[in-house]
Amino acid sequence: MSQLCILSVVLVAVGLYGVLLKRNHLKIVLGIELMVVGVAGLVVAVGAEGTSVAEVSQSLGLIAVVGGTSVVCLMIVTAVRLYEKYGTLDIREMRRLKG
Amino acid sequence: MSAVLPVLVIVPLVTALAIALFARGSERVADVLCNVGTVVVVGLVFVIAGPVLGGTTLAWFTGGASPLGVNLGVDALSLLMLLVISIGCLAASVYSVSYMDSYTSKAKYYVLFMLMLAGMNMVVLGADIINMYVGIEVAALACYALVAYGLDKEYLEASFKYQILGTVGTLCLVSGIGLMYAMLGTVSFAEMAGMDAAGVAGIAVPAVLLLSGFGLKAAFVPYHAWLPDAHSSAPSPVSALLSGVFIKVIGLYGLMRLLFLVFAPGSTFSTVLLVLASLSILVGALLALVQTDMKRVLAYCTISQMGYVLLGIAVGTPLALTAALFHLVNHAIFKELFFFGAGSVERQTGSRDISCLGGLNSRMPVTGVTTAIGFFSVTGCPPFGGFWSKLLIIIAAVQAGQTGFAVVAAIGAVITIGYFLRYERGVFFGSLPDALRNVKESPVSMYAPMIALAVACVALGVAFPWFIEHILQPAVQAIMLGA
Repeated sequence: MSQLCILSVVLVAVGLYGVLLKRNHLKIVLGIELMVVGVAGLVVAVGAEGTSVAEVSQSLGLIAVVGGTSVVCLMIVTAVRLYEKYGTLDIREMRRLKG
Repeated sequence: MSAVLPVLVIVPLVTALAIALFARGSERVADVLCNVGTVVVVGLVFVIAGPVLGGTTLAWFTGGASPLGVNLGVDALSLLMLLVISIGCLAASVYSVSYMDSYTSKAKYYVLFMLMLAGMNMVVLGADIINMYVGIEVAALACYALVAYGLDKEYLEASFKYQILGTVGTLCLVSGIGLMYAMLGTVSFAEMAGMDAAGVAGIAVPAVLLLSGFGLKAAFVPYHAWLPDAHSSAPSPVSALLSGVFIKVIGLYGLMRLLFLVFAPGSTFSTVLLVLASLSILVGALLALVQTDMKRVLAYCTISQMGYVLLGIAVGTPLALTAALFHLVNHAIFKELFFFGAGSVERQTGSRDISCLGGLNSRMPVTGVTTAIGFFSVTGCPPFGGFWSKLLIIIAAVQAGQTGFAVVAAIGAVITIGYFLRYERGVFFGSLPDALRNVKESPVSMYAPMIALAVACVALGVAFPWFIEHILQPAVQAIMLGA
């Protein structure tokens, strides 16, 4: 298993920890961003043979980063708007909807 | 003829651009542009419908061989989805003309709406998983923004929740696709159908990731937490599209495409799918029983009805797949109808709380009658479309030896009658509260799509043998290509 693969899995794990356990909006968004980078790295790592990487894996990794970054931008906008409405970034304070 | 395929994506994109450029000052220009765009898309879909149903598979690509270039293809399954998407979007765009008057900056709404349409078309046109994934990403981005469109506290909260869970789903998909490519060396559906992909060692890992990704997108229990919030928070035409079309296109469609290629009915995966399906049917229906918000009842109903479609897919026999696709179409029609009805009630009365409404049949007769037709279809009254599709799903499950799951489906159908009777009594029957004495019927651009959808509910029920033979059977054959 390549070092990139291990690094990617660690990034995804740290990101997932942030998404699942953090109560602060921006930290959750940071967690998502870490997961995006980790997944992109993972896609490239599994597509690698020796020193070359399959073109498809490279392009998929790029698409994942682009797509992930646009979603993260939208999340930050939403988080700012939520902060304006609630005056806090704590998700425990936002309980107007019940699943 | 194949040259039409990229146009199906380009038309909504160009329309979105045109609305953004030319309709800033005038809402009427935006109304016209959006509706012209959706009508053109419907027209184009009908243009390719003839040859595709005749057995031709259309293909178009540019920029290099699969999967690096843009590869589009249409077979009968894609065509069925294109019909559902384009007709659903046309109904929603006509409905939006009056409904969205109460919101600010209508032009921006239409831009997002057209981007969502472009993304959904891209998903079903993609001839390999990567093109499909790009479409999912575009459609989902537009959808997140549309859910938050009202900019109230709860809308933003719902959108944020949806963004987080949706992105986790997308990331599951990306890693699944990446791993699958590393194992198979291809992501094209046609090439995967030619090899025994399901037999490759270790394919279970990407399969689980893909299942979780599509599950999050299609909101099966236990992946459903975002759906009731998101679908009830969006403006009603968008709720209708989300429940009726969107989750099927970005969730179920991918699952159906990969069903025989990766998930292989008869394996452990189909047992997992069967369990997820019965959980969705029961949990969705039971939670719908206790809701007081009209749109939340409908959202939980969506979870439950998607369970039926998944049950058909999981059973995996030709009859079950036909029934699943038929229920998918029926659900698209009656759920749009319900959300349009709920939107009308909310717009005319200012409330969507079942406990505060009542007796609206006398004040809003068209909304009342069309919603009642939707009610007959969803609860499975003959001869409406919903009756035949639910019956076929249950028959197919029994024939395949899954009697236990057939019983679950039957119990779910009974609970469905329960919560919809409560819905009908609370909103359209019973006594009219004094505060609602002066309520009027919604404008014609809102009830015209409702009448059209109600007619479709009846027509599908009456003409179901024709529909199954000419539209659904070719689509089922397309799914079973890899079997």
